[in-house]
Amino acid sequence: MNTIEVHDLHMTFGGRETAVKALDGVDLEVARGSFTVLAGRSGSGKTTLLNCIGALLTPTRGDIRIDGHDFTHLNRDQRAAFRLRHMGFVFQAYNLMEILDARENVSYTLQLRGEPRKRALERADHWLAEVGLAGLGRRRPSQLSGGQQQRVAVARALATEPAIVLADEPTANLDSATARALVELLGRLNAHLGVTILVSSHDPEVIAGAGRVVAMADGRITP
Amino acid sequence: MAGALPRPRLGLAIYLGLALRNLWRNPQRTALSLLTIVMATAVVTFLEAVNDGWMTDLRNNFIHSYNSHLQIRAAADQGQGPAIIRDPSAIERALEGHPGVAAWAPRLEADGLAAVAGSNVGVRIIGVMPERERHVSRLRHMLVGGRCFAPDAGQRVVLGHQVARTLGVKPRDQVVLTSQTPEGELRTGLFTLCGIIRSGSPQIDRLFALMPMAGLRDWLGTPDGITHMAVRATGHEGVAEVEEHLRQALAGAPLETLSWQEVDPMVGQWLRFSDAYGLMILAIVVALAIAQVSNTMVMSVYGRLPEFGLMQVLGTRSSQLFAMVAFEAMLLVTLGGALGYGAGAAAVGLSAGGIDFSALAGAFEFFFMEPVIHPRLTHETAARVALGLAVAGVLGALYPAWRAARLDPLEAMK
Repeated sequence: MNTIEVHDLHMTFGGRETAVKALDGVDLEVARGSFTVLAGRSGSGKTTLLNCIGALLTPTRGDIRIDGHDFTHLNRDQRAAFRLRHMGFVFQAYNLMEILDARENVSYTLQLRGEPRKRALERADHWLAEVGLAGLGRRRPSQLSGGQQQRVAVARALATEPAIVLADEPTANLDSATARALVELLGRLNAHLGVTILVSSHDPEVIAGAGRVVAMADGRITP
Repeated sequence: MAGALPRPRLGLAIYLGLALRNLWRNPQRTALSLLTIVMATAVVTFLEAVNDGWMTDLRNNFIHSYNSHLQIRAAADQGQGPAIIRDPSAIERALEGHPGVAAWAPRLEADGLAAVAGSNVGVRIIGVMPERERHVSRLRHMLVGGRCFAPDAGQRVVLGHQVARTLGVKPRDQVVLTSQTPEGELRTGLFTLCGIIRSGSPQIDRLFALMPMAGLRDWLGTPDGITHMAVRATGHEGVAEVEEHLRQALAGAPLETLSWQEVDPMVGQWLRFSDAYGLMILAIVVALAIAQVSNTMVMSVYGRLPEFGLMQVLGTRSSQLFAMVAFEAMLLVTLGGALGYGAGAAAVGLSAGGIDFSALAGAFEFFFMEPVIHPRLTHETAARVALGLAVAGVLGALYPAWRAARLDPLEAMK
């Protein structure tokens, strides 16, 4: 059973004169519960593909299905609701909200889904413990190291128990030891929770830790 | 499929928490914005209170000095002399027992001339019943020289102090009055000046010649006749109801019921102008507050683009982002407005003894106003200021909130 199905996906940026083909007929299937890495150099199209799968970009042409659902025709707010229901995100720059402490950052999406604040914060504590940050929930992002911030981001991505977690270059800002620890964490969560993880990265640590590597070049999946 | 998706929702607590923390994120900017809103609100509150204070004085003085809340007059001129109501009993029946009527007093007015050797001045000769008149006007409290006349005092007259000064007379002096009967016949009589009144209003001080009703009736040959009935209502608020009652009760009679605004339209216009002036000041303050709120919120939104982008990525709806910014703006305005209103109210409290404009006394008297203004804070002022600030908050937040709601999440997060 595939969680992600991408068929003949094209993405072109710019106008007719300045058109840049970022994706050129991508076909991809990601099995439920897998840990997949999109590997490739900068400009290979892996981030664009991840953003299309994450309902953050509308492809020029092609189909994307998440758990059998096509979201490409949805409007802005419906896509937001779709992301909230099906996806968790981890970014290169951590992207935590500075005015919220770690547990509030994690609980934000839970509250968006209608959980009462108290319960959402309790669940945030659970997820922070799951990523090894028990007791650090009251700290603001600026009071955490880069690796800890990225773990908070992972906890936030997992908190709503989404079908897939999309991570864009999650180790790019981390030193190698911290990056290795994060990959181990993702691998453990993937094995333990069965969540589907799709990562874009050219970091050998990540590639080494993944169950499947999909190579990309020039907007295409390469053999 | 979209219909099956749960609508992302956020509780009021998270909106409030985010708004407070975001305002605290840049305390200097927030403090500056708050200060502007506080000052603007305080100024508008105080100015509105001053405006309300002097307009209340104007209305009260105009009504209670002489004109009263309502006047019932003969519908049309009946010749060259004053329009006379020959039988006021129908009016008295209409007034009796109405809960909104506090008192009424008949009056007989005639234009005339007051003269002493070598000097004369145009006057309005007014016959009053002192025992009735004291319930509808403050004329007896205006006595500054001599004393008032008894109801049966005969050829006695009380003059406005400007009239007396022009004629150069003092109590016990003799004054010649000339007037016209309703039939147009000239009458002249010699009267003794028994008192001088000073109201502060030129309409009274420069024109009035008061005498006992019975004496004036005898002199003008109009037994039982009056020119109007002055009616005092139990309160300003009930005037319209009493007016309507009288119009219905006296329908068909050759009478007209005039409210105090109709007796002297200029006073009504002045009050309306004052209201418009108050609104204009409020509009200026609201415009300032809109500019300040908008500026603060635009800077705040542009400083948080990545955060708004992230929120969208995580599933926050556009309307929720709009509401977050609007909520923050409203919080800023509410805080500033509450502090500003408090400061304005404190200034009103400190001015409770009155603000002395005696240097402009002449201009004030012309409009029936005391030269000492007592600022007065009313519920209407509070409501107007609150409404104005709410408008400022909403309008000031519109653009920044719309901007936050329409961001492209990926662009914003770069």
